[in-house]
Amino acid sequence: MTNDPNGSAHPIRTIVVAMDPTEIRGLIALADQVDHSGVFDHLSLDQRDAVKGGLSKIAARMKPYRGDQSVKEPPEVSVHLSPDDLAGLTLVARSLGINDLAALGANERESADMMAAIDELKSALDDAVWLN
Amino acid sequence: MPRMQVLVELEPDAARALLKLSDRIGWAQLRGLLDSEIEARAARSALDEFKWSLAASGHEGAIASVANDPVNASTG
Repeated sequence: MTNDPNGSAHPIRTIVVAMDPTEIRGLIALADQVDHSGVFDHLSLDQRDAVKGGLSKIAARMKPYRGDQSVKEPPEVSVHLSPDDLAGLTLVARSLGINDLAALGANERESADMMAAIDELKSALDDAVWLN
Repeated sequence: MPRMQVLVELEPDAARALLKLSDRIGWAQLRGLLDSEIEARAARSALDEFKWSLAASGHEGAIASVANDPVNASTG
C-alpha cells in the first residue's frame, strides 16, 4: 500500500483533507482510543503509534477550524504523511467497520463523529498524491 | 503575520513536564507572569501549539489532553 511508483527511498505522500469541527473531533477521539480499546489489539505497538500519529497529524493541521461552528465549508488542507503514517491510516480506514466505531465512541455523537472522520479519511487516502 | 517554525528535540521527561505545565497553568497565572493581556494570549497560543505538535507526533498524553480539551470534546 505504500509502494512508491517513483522508487524514492523516502517517499512522502500528500493527502488533501477538508474536515469540519465534528470530523476533527472524531479524529482526535479515535486517536485517543487506540491504546484503550480492544479493537486495536491486533496491531503492533509500532502500528498503533503510526495510527495515533497519522490521525493526530491531520487533526493538528485542521486545528484552526476545530472550534469554529460557523465554518460551513472548511478549506482543503494538505497533510504530508510518512510511509508509516500512511500505512497506519490506511489500516484504520480500511479495517474499521461501523460496529467497531459504534463500540469505540463514548456516546452516539462521538461514534458519529468518528464515522464522519473515517469517511473523509478514506476519500482523502484514495486521492493521495506522491511527492519525492 | 509572519510565523516561525521551530524544530525542537526534547527528552521524554521534558516533553511530559511541558505538557503538564501547558495543561495546568491557568489564564490568571499567565496574565500575572506576563506584562500584558496580548503577551498572555500569545503564550497560551504557543503552549497550545506545542501540545498539538506533540499530539501530532503520536504522544499519548498529548492526544489525551487534546481530546479532553472542551473545544474538542463531544458533548451531547
